[in-house]
Amino acid sequence: MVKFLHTADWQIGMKAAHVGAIGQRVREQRLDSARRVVEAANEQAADFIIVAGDTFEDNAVDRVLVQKVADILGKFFGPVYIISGNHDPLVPGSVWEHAAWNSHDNLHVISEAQRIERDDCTIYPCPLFEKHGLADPTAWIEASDNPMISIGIGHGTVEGVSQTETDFPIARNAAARSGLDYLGLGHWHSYAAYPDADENVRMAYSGTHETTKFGERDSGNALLVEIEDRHSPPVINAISTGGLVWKVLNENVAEEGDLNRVRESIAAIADPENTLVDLRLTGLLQHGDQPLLPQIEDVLQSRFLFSRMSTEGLHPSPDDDRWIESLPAGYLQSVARRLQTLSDPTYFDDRPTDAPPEIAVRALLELYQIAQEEQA
Amino acid sequence: MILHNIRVEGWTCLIEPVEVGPLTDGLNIIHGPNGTGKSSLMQAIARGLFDKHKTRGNEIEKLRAWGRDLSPKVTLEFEQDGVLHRLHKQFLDSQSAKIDRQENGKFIALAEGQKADDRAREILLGEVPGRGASDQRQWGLAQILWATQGNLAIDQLGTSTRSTIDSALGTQISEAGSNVLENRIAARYEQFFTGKSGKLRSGSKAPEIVGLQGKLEELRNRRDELCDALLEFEQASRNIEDLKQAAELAEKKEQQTSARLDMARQQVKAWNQLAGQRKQHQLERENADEKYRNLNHRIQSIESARTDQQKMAEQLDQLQRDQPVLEKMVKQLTEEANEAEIGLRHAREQRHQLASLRKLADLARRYRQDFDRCQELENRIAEAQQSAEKLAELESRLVGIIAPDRKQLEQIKKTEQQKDRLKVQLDAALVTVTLQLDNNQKLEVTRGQQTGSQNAEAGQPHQIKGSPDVELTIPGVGRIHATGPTHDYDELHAKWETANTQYEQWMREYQSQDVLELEARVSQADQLRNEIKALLTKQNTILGDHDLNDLRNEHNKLQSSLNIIKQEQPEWKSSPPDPDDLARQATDMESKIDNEIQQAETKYDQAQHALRTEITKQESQRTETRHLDTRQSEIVERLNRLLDDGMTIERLVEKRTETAMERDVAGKKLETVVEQMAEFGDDPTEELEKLERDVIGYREDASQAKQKLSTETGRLQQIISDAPYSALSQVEEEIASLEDDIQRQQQQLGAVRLLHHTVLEQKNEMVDSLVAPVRSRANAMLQRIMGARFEGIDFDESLLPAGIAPPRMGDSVGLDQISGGEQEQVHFAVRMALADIAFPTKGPRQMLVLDDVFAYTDESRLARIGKILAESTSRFQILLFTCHPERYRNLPGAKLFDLAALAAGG
Repeated sequence: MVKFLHTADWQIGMKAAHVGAIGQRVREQRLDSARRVVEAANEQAADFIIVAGDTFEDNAVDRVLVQKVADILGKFFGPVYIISGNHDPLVPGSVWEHAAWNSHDNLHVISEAQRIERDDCTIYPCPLFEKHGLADPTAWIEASDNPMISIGIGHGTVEGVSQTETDFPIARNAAARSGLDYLGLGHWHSYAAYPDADENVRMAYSGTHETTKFGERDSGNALLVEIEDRHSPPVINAISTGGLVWKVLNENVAEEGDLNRVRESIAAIADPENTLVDLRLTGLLQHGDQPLLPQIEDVLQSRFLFSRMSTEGLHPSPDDDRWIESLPAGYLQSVARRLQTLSDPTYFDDRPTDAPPEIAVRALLELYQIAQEEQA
Repeated sequence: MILHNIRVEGWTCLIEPVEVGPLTDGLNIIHGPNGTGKSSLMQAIARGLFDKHKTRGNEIEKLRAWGRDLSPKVTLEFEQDGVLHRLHKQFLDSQSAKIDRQENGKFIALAEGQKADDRAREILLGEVPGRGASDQRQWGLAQILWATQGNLAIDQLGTSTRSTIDSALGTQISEAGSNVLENRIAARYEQFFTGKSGKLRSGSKAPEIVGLQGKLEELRNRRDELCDALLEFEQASRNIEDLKQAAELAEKKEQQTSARLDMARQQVKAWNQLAGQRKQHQLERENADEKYRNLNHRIQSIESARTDQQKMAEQLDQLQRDQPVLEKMVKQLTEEANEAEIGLRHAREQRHQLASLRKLADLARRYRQDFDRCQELENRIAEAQQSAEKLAELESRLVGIIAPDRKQLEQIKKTEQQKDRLKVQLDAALVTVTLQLDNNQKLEVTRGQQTGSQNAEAGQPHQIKGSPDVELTIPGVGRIHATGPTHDYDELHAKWETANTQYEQWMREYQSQDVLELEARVSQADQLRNEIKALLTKQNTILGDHDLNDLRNEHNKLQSSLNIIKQEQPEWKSSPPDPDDLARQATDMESKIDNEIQQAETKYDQAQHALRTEITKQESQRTETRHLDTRQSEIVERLNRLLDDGMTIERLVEKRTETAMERDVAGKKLETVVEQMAEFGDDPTEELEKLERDVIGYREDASQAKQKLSTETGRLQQIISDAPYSALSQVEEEIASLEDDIQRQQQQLGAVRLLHHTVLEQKNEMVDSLVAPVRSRANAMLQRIMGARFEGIDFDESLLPAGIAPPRMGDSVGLDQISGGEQEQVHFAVRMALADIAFPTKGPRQMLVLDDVFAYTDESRLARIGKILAESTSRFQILLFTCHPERYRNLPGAKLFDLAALAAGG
């Protein structure tokens, strides 16, 4: 029997431009999560760890990070088998040439597609030597005659995962075709399992150990895999390793008071200091709810690790123009009605280039605020 | 309001009471030289209507008659809503105000004191002035209608005036409170943008976004640098891979090539030995071959010389046998040639007879031609003589007819018609009075052709003529004055006299009584001229380019020539020769002679040719004999040379066979060596040199690749130490964060700008809708005055002109940039446009007052303004004060008031 931890796509040194100023925090979080992976492997007494590529975001990352990752993996009690991925291929100048990999005896950076014989199993690693390739990196594996438990480590795109990306295609039946008991994959960031004809999962993406962006499903895990004997079905358990919560909130408002409900639900989110929020507001903004928008923005910015709020889908309710009538009669009322018209995203007739709906909404709010201040 | 009468007293320069009126409800021109009180009069109307009678202050004090203690007084009679009113005001001392209304033909008091002030002011919607005298802004609608001297421009429309115009246009820009909000919006906009250009503020007042954009630019530059570094990293990595492969490949090739090089060296050694042998055998074979060829050639030469020697002996023998035959043949042919030459000479002698016959034929032809020409000339001379006689007769007849030419006749006829027409007009222009009285009367004609006393007999018509009228007195009856047509009799008579004199002069000149006779004569003359012309044409045809004497001379010459020929050929006198027959005889003879000559020539040529051929053959045989003798000697000499070493030909043949055998042995040896060399293929030396070069090249390639590899590895390590990807991550995150901030701020700025622009846009639209009617009326008016000199007046929100657009210039210019006269015309057009809007066409008539306001306008444009004013009298009563009444005198319906005369009590 073998028990090992399957992880991949740590993407250490990843840029996080989509979250701007907290990019450094997101990068550090990935190292923290890597530590959690190793801790989990130690806690679970895993025989070894397989890292299925893209440990680093790029070969040109800071070498301090290389040392840090080597040190983290060096803390595992058993051997670690690491293959290069398309982000960190084994090329001259790659991260794998760093001396850090020699500073821990348990670390095995695989530089050739050759069998590794262990007492309890045979490992078939498939390292990548280029950023792009059209050949199946697992094609060389032939384990059918091997009496030992056979475990493959590969990095690429399983057929059908993406219609657009064809780099390093891996056949959907790669594990069965090669006679492997399990094929641990990397490249895609969400967990994905591929059952064979007997409904046994012998091929899976572990997904990234830490979520990388908004909307990324089933990420932030590592897989603990146990295989009793040769040809026994693997037992796979996901272990949560992620540290940050990425929340996408799509909120549609229609009635006065809806925006208050949104504000309350945001305020109720737990662990906001480790939570990133992407709030997308759509619908009709009522006259009475307008002051709530800056309040919600305040809550998001002050409490959460990161937030962004989109009001592009929100436009003032055309039925609610009480405040316009309170403006002095004449051109100012015309101004308000013109801006109201321009706020409507379905209006195209004579829209000036500098007046997209979102700008018009803001202009309307400016007028509203100035008028309110004057009335006060 | 229509003003009927003005009366002022003690008002500045108008000390004595002055009354102007009654005014028409149309155009009134009140004129007078400078200083006669025109402006004072206008001032009196305004003060009377708009100022409180109790008003004090410097402005009112100035109304007092100069240097006197009199109170200024004004009385205005005007019509309002169809009712006549009379307003009287006295300022300064004993102030009073009173307004009367005409009721049942009498003026009855309506109000007095302040009430009277108020009622007067309300007529033109005037506003209550503050302390002191009123100014134009308080004149209500009179602000538009009344222009004081030098003040045609309106500074600012009063509130009530503006309200009236807005109401007439049915538009309102805004209500109270708008300005406060607009100012706040503008202030908000100017927080971020400059007011004029609309650009983002810079410097210390620049919004935060400007700094952020600068930082963003720096970061983007840094990002580009890092991206370049990453590309460099990738390239270096690839280069290292390539260089490693290149070095390995070069080393591998060097090893492989070195092994091949050793083998090649051994092959070259063996090849060189064989090449030496091949060279030696080639030399042996070539020597033997050359020796064989020399012997062979010597043997063949000897044999050939002997054969030639024998052939030449045979040829010489034959030539000697042919010689006597040739000599005999030449002699015979020489005799035949002499005979042919004699025959040819006889044939050519016959040509003399032919020449005589041709000469006779030519003489006969000339004789016939001259004879015929002589006959023709005789006929033409006779015809020409007859024609000349007839022509002389006709010309004599034409001279006898006294008549003008056709053109002259037309002139005479025209003069006769003119004379007759003038006679008729003369008769019509004369006034004729025909009297037929019952009693004899003595008439006294005072105007007529004949003046003085005339007697008219009872019952008899008595005519008295005269022009332009006739006047006569019949005692006891009275004076009769008759007038008639307006023609000038004397002028007509003079014209008739001229025409008649000319006519009679012509009649005398042509000795005729009338034009008909003259016409008959002209026709007769024309007929004679036609006949003469025809005769002249005929004579021209007969004579051609000659005259009669030319023909006669030619005839005489021909006759002489004919006589000479007749003497030579007397038989032609009785029987003229036939030149054609003689010519035919000559032709036949010529044909026969030619034929004979040709035959003789052919025979002669053939004989000559045969003779020359035989002579040539004889000479050729002699030459050939000499040539054969020479060659025979040469061959003997050649044979002697070929055998001069004492060798016989048989010995030479034996030696040639021996040499052939030596050559064959050497050839065999050479073939063996060549076959051995062929086993090598090409020369292995080239391959050896190539392999040596390759080995050196591969060695250098490997060395260079390793050197480059070392350099590239160092470069890669340098890039790695800079960790460009990690740096890029941080920069891109900072860029993203900055872009978020900038976008947020841009949206805010965009919103502020959009709000500000929308305010301006909406306001401008409303202002434009308000200004448009004023603008269109004013521009139409201005175009009538000055044509298309300007594209139009620009108005601002105040409804007053802000500038004027010159044609094709785009932007407007200030009014102060156009001439003084044009400024007057622009302000006049604006006033008329505002008046047109403020006072509906069907509303009550209003009074328009202009006090000498066209000081700089030129005459032509003033004439157009005058026309507009005249048209405007359909809606306005106009009071025009001027010191130039002559400019307006001709305007229809204008009533002029001479203020100087009125002030002087006139």
